[in-house]
Amino acid sequence: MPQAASVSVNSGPQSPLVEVSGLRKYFPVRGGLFGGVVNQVRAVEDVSFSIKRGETLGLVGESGCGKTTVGRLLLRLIEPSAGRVRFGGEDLATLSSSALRQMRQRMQIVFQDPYSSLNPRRTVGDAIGEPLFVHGRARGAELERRVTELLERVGLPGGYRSRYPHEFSGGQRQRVCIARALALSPELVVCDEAVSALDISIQAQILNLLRDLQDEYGLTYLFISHNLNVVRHIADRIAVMYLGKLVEEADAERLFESPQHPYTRALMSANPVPDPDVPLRPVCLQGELPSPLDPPAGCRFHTRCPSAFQPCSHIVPEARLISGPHTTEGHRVWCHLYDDAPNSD
Amino acid sequence: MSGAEPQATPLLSIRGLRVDFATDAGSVPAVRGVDLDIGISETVALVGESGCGKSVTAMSVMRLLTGRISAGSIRFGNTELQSLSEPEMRRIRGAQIGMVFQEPMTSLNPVLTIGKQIEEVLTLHQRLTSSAARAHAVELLKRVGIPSAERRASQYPHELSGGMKQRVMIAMAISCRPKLLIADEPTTALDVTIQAQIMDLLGSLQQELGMAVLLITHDLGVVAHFAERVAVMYAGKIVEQGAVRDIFKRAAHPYTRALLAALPDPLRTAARLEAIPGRVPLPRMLPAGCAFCARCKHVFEPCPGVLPELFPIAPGHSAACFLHDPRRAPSNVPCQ
Repeated sequence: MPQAASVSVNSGPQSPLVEVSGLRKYFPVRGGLFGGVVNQVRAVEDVSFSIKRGETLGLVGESGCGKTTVGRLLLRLIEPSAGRVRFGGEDLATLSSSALRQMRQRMQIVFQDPYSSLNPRRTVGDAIGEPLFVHGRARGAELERRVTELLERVGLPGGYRSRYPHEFSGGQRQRVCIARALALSPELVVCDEAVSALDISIQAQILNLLRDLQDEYGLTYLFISHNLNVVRHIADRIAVMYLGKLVEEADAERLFESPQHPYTRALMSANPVPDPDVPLRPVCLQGELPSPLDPPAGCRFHTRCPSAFQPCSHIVPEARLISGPHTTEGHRVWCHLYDDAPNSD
Repeated sequence: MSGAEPQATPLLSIRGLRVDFATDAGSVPAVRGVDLDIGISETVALVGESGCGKSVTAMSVMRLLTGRISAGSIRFGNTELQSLSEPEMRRIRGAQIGMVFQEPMTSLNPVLTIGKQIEEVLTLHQRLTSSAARAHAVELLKRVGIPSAERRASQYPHELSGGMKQRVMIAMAISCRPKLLIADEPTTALDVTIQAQIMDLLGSLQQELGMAVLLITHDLGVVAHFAERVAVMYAGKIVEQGAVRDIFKRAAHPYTRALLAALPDPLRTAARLEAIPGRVPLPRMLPAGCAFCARCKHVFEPCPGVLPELFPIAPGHSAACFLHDPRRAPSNVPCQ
């Protein structure tokens, strides 16, 4: 089996589980008399990163920056316009549909809204058991046993398997969604705003659960969120996106202590820390977020950047490596202020 | 002003407010006896998790409820709002009490230009001529930081971003210089950089107009930087209130402390968060005593059966917890 071979080659603890290079996604905008493509939403442009096994990469950015699209491209839920996603060393784009189906067992997703991601007319036991059934992993009494085990693993009584989603609170539903994502023992779980709809006390329970599951099963997470404090808590490394492009990537601690890109700095400065004695001095960004239909030339942030200078409006900045404390994995910045730093690629 | 203590003659005074919602399964209490004062030009934050009754309390002040106020009084200045007729209430709503909601996308009329919508408020409450109202509307849009206000005034809501729409909502809310602004999750739908701008705008308008603000939010980060006083709600009751530093630095109620400990804080990273076990009790299944007792670390014998009142901790700071009842509390109070 080809997958088995590649897994054994790439199963070292340091080898990346996910490698993304030059990823691009344009969504066509149709219109006009004949419904032709009149424009394109440039949702994701030239995004490259990798995630090691057992690591959590946080992906942050404001609404519309393309972070959810990156999550979906990673699982090949949507097809990229260009670029490559390698999972466990294999290029997802080249897989046949049956090989992709096999591969999908190794990657799962948990969505933001636990209300709309469960079928209201099926029991939560059915929801959790379905992936096991579809992939022929378990049947009958064995299926029931596995479902009970999964429910108990996420902190719900096994007897709840015959209940319907409306009988659960938001936090409990999110636990059910996590149990379903775990059913096939995946290696990668994409959490797309997985705790954003939850109240603080419940959010803490789910974040602790995700951390415990990672320790127990060696899970790799791509954790997509707009909440900087949550990402700081859960992620080992953080990548920041603005208008479809990465602007900075570093260790979580390093990024919070020493953000380099003007956009990251603005984002951090506007993030209110829950302590009245820590002053909030937001760097106010000028103007509005440009449209992804017609993103600015050069650095996409230059129209609002307080430090913009001559090259920013026409030259796309390349990734530069910044050195300093905590930069075990490299601190990458896409900004002309650091043009003297070494190129990272 | 210092903000630590409620003023002698508050602008808004809520006493013993109870609100019930009729459901198929009978009457469900959403607010169970809330007392709250807001002084002139004071900022009070009402915080709590979903379903705690914070928005229902605010809607009761505006009399925009679908539920029924079953008891209590709401005094605004010298007026008892409950006793007003609907036309009398309409003269207060919008003119003396302004309101900003969470969803700027759904709070604006999609088929009217934003200029028209602001003019409507002005002609209704201030009897301005249409050209004077137009000029004033443009003035207001400039005041809330909308660039090229003349052009924007003739645009429709869909042509504006979320942050711009929230600015328009604020322009409408302050158009008649209200004495009180109720802001219900005003930045929850917005990104952090926009949130910072909107909170900054609200702060400067408050200074300029001398208006009081009742801020309703679940975001403790926003509360820490914007409020003078804070009231924490849990299951339809205020469980603790005090000045902002009382709440964040000297929290007295176990729920407030648990809530603060459950927050991921970039300044103190730990491997695990202190989650609060269990969940908020359903409104139909509340215990006779403290609603938090099933999740509380410090529960002791009076908690499940007796409803705790707000016990004073310090001037302006009180908590509804028997740990602070001098008659009942165990001698070794575990909370300080």
